[in-house]
Amino acid sequence: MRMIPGLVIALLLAPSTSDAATAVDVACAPAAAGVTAEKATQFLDNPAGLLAGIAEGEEGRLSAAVRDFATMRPETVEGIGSLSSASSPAQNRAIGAGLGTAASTCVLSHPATAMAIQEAVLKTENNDLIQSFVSITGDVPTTAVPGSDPNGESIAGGGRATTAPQAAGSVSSSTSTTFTGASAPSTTTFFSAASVTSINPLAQTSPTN
Amino acid sequence: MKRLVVALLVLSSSLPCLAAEQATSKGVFLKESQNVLAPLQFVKFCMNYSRECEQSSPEAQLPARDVAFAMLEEVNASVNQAISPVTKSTEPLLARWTISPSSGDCNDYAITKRHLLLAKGLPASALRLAVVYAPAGGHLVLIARLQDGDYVLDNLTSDVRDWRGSSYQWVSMESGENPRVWVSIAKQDHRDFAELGSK
Repeated sequence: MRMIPGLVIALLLAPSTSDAATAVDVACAPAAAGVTAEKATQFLDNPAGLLAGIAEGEEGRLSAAVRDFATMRPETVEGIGSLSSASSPAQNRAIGAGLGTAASTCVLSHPATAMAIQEAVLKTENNDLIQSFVSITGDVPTTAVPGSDPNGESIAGGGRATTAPQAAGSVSSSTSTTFTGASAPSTTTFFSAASVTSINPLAQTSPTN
Repeated sequence: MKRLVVALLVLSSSLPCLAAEQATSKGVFLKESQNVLAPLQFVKFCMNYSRECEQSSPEAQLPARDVAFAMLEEVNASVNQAISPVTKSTEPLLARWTISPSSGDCNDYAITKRHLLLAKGLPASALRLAVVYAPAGGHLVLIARLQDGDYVLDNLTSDVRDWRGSSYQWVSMESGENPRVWVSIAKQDHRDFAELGSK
């Protein structure tokens, strides 16, 4: 019985693996000599300034710089939106690749940091950047609907699917979302894209993956 | 006598854990492996519906089958019936997972079922979104983890099935510890993702 208090104290003092990885400002890799806190602050003060030091055609350097910032100074992901806005399509692809590499590196030991990087990527709303990011991370598109299964599993949900035209949307911090059926918790809507505007009942189902 | 009572209490409180361990050894639970990136659309989903991605209480226990299974069947059937199937874009900027839409794809079905089961009191740790490869391609299902195993709620089938009864290749799912964190699904006999390339 004497062991129990000792065991309780040991458990209380033991590091929690879940807590260890929840803070988004936790670096995924030890800071290298060139990636100082001062440089991170400079970047956050003027994200577009990073482009000034990297000539056009040297997107590889930009990609590496973004990767190093995101893995070693994760607080810098706050500046990605401004950096993306000031960048050309080629530069945005480089930024996306750098962030994809950083997220893939971070996720093993610091999943919260990896998710913060993913959020920063989405908030840019830049298609070049996002497509480049996804090409690195290997996201699996999921879009199965009844009728898309060639093995003919039972159909649930009312028959073959139609195809919904998609409309591009924009980031919004104030748009409220209306739900049919069960009510969802009311939260801030960041994305109002992909609204279903009409359904063509004659459209064929075509698996898209 | 006092020690005996304490011992019995400790033993009884550990029984669900023992049952879960025995169930794991029988393969009734999907095996979690290392952390992987969450699907990008899931991240967007958490940004739009932050409450859906909150952790359950650490004290939350897995539901018993006799308590929860009928609930799973009812929710699976009602959501499959309520949402009309529609093929949506998977373009990252266009795609959006929506709770209780009038029409939607596998993502909308899965998050709606999860939302309704959370509202009915099931813990988030027992409701895991999972990415699988179906014969037609990438697919999202909801895994309900009960005390006796993992069950699949799917918009492609009307029945709630033991995960071992599906022909899917299992890729990744939400972790039990934190619903925002995703884990790869470890090798499960012949149906695992790792062996995709060898077939």
